[in-house]
Amino acid sequence: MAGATFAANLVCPERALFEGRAKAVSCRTSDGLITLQNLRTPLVADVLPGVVTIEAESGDLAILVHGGFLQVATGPGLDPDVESGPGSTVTVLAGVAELVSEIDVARAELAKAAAEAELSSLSGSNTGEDDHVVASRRATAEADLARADLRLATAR
Amino acid sequence: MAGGQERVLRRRIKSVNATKKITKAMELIAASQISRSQQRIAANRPFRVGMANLIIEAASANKTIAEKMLGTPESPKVITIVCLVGDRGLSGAYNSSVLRATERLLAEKAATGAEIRLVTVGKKAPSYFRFRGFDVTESFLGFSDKPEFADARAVATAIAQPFAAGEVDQVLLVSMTYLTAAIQQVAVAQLLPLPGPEEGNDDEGTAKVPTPVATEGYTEFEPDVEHLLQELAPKAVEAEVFAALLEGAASFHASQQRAMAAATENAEELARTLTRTMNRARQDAITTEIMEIVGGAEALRPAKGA
Repeated sequence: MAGATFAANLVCPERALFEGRAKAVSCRTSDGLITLQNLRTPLVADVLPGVVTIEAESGDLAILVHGGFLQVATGPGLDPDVESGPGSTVTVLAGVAELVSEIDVARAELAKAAAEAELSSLSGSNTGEDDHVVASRRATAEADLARADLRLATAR
Repeated sequence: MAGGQERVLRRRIKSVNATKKITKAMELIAASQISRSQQRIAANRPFRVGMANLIIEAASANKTIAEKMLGTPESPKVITIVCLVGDRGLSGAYNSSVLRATERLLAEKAATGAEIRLVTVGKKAPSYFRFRGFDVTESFLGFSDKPEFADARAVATAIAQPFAAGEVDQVLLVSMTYLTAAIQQVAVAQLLPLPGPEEGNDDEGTAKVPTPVATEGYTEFEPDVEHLLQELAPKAVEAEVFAALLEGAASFHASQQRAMAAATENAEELARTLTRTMNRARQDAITTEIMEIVGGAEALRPAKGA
């Protein structure tokens, strides 16, 4: 049984980045680095921002995710490609994800500069907007900055 | 003079035909946008299904926590109502039906004594509500045609943050759900707290997502269910808002296509009746002229037997 493949999906809201069969999927959760293999105990976990590695049949795939969740479903009939007997399906859900090879460094640097400018303008003089509007804009800018930093760090 | 009426009619026919060309073009553009929006809804489906699976898995693992964190609050004190409409008009009843449904909901919730915060998406909403004396807490615009996930995230942050901070007890979303190209429906869905698995949003737009199969047996959670659900909530809101934006965009285009098809038909009909009236006016003018000429000639003929 060991070494068998299972169905793996990495989906974000706009499209599915990976759909196919894999030998192993590694990523970081709040408990540490984890590598998932076929017939693992069912698991629901968060995925920390970082690189998810999928050992696919066609070769390894590195995908940068900006936080998300994963679910391992194991049981009879839970692998769509296994006719009978138990199988596993691993689903990684990520709000934003991209192939490491496709990271746009120039765009990330622009986004970083924009987010920093927004943050400094928010912390500066009172813009006359409501407090919660400022708070939500700050949260958005902080998240933008974190994503840009992660992209740059991964690309290097 | 009779020729004047003919000229006026000719000008009107010309302008009706020009309008017809515009509405026809808009109809075709909207029709092409519908299929694009539909594809985006389809591409979003695996994510929605995955998210729904996750929440059900987490909720069914620990009933007490699920009861505490999911489901409809009994008497919410502060409610955020999110109204999702388009940026542009010329789309039939799309905007107005969502706006009217939101206004009804506002009145209904205000009657229970709850404080209401209104968050709007789409250019058509803020003016509508300000005119009617409602305060708009926050408004988003500029992306209802082609919503990106980043837009959904901005909206979700604005509504999830006050909820996480405990300022808001319930978040409701009013939007148009896209059932088929011919059927769209206004729906009210609860975004936060996350609806419990048994309530679902079955009749509120997620009907197309197949019921997930709960994994049998023991499931591990990392971190524990309570923290996981806490983390999951804002992400689930992002996913729901994005799906609603996509469906709203598709509904907008479908609605616009229908409205523009009707407008084109009207213009055709109008041009036809106007042409008929113009032809009659021209014929009348010719007849009158002949009568005048014949009459004049008759008068000039020397009288017989003079």
